[in-house]
Amino acid sequence: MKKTILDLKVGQYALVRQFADFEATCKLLTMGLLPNARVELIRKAPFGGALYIRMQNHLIAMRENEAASVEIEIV
Amino acid sequence: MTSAKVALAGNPNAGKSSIFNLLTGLRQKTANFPGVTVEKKTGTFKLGTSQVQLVDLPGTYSLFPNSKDEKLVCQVLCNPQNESFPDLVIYVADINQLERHLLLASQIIDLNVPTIVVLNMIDVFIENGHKLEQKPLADFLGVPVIAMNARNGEGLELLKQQLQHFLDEGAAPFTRASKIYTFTETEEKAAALANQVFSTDQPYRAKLTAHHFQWFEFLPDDLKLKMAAMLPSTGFEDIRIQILETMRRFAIIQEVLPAVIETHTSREQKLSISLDNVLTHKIGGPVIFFGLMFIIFQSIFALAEYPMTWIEDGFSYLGAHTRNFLPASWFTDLLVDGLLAGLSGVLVFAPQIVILFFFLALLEESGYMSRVVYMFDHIMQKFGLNGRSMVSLISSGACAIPAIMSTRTIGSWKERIITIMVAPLIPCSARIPVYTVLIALMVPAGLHYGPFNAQGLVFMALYLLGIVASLAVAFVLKLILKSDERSYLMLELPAYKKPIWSNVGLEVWDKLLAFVTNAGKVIVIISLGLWFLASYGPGNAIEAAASKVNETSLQLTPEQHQAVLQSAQLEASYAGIIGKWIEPAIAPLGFDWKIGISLITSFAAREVFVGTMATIYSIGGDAEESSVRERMAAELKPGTSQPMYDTATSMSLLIFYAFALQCMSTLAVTKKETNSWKWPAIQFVLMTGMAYLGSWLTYHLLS
Repeated sequence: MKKTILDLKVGQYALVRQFADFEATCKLLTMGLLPNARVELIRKAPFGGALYIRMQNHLIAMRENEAASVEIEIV
Repeated sequence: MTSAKVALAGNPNAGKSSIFNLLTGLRQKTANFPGVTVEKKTGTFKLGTSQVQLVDLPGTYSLFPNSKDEKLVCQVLCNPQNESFPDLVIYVADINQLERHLLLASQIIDLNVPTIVVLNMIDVFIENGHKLEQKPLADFLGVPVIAMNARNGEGLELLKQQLQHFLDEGAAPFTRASKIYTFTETEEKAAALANQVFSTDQPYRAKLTAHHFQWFEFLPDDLKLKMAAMLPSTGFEDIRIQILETMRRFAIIQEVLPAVIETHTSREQKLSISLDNVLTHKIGGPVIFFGLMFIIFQSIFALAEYPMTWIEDGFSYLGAHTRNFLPASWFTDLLVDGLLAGLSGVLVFAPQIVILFFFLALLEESGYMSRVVYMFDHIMQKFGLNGRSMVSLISSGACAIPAIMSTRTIGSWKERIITIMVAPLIPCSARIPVYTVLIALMVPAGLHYGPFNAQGLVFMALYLLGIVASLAVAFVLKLILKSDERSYLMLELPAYKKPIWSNVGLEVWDKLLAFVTNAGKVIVIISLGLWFLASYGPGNAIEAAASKVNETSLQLTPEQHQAVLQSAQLEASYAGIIGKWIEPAIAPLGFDWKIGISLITSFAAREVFVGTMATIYSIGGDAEESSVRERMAAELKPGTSQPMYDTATSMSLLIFYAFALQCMSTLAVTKKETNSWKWPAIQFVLMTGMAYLGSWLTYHLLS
């Protein structure tokens, strides 16, 4: 079973490997979530559902289902 | 060249609007709230002897569009026949996000549209200790590159020089000789086919046409069919190739960037993350948010009170003097009772709108609103809404009109429609005068339950009712409305920034102007109509009613006489006839014809209810609320000794006003924003239905 951003624990870093969902990929790519990009899970939203993620030089929020489509390698 | 069409393009949050403001001085807004520039804004300015026409294109991430705005940009840039197709693009990139922001730049340059690339927010970049080498970037892009700080106008002169250079020299220095991105064999074939079918000679435009021809509105249908039939033979798979191109473009950009910028994690980002430790904390985040909302709404009511009184006093002074100055005639009546009264009814809300939008603009400019969207997205989704709906529903607490306008930032059609539909159920400021009068009839002043003021509790309960109702309706609509469009959160959380005050000011001014002109027009027309209906009757009915009063009420004081006279005249007027006519329909709710008139007149705007009641209960239109209340309390049910406004009728009326869409302007704005009469019609029927049913139940349970 491949790991996705959804499997990250708060404070963990990972490198983006692959995208599992074609339609979401376009959106993710334009937000700068590229293969080999380094992502860190900073925190989860107060009522759940959304993740607060740090990338190289910007911050983004994404839904859990969006996060589940990004396969990663934890470092 | 003596005139040129120039377009501003770039990712959301790149600061395009600030540069637009700098160049044109026209009203526009900049904010940290992603996707705020959704409308096409234009302006003109002079450069030497030339006239430049500037278009601010909506923020776009790439020419593989994900939203309506992005599709618009794509269609403009891929169609030289489009009226907005620019002679030159000023591409605005945030230098702090250079990698991401160069994607669209590289696509636009490959379209061979002359381009100037502006690297904005250079101040933040330098402050953070990063370094920039401009030349390798300009060499790579093949077009001029300018560093700029839109906050203080640094770099503006350079930009103007380049524009002048373009006007003098033409396109060559602003166009790259070759493409940044080279096609694969499949892409070559698809582009060649698009060229053959649609005569799209520019290679990258041809390739984009192969991706997007199905929804490009400017292409003829017969050619689309031809293209669709032939494309599969090239082995071209739209989405897969979009992803491939995007990744390859990023690979090219990543190769160049080390020579251009030298970066490390910025202080700015660290600061934002620490601030968010508190502001988006599991418990602290929501608590701070509701605290902020509480303070904002308290100050709206506290701060707006005085200017609102001034506006009302100013208008009644103006009205009285107009009456003294002009001869008594129907025209004077129309001017004073119709037009001035109508204008006053609109402008009295201006202070609340200004204060609310001042705070909202601050929250947006600082970057806080994106955090609100992030925190509440999950809850909102359960009700078929988007995190972005929070912003609209908050605004709705002051007025549904700007709230509905602010739904433009919601990408998904379904979530946007649901937000528009439920926004008017959130109690707005216009319900306050109505609630005040009616609650006082029902609950004696000074009554307490424990430490709580009973009137205050009813007031709060009505607010909660509105919020619960809007969520419930949203939930039902979520189940009914069908859409296979996917909804995304995918939100940029911009670094916290000090607001640019001129942007806040422009934003407030823009919203105020929109309110006064859009809502104002409708309210003024309605009040003119109402004035006519309430002042005239069929034939000589009004005169007949007046002479009947003159014959029968001899022993009254002149004031009482005047009061009875007005009441009798109103009953004989067209408005009175309409009130009598709808009485059978509203009798099951416990309402009589007089309330019926108020329901009709307050369709223009809820707060008209109090004024109409004042007229009907014959104390003249300028009565204090307390005297309206006294007269209403003294009113008896016809033929009985029961008070007309007992708990059942008052509560029923309150429920009616909580739900009914008694607001012309809301309907007008919904029409404008959804571009069809269908949604305002559904909104009206739905809310009136809820009001009728709610009132009927309330009346029958209580009486």
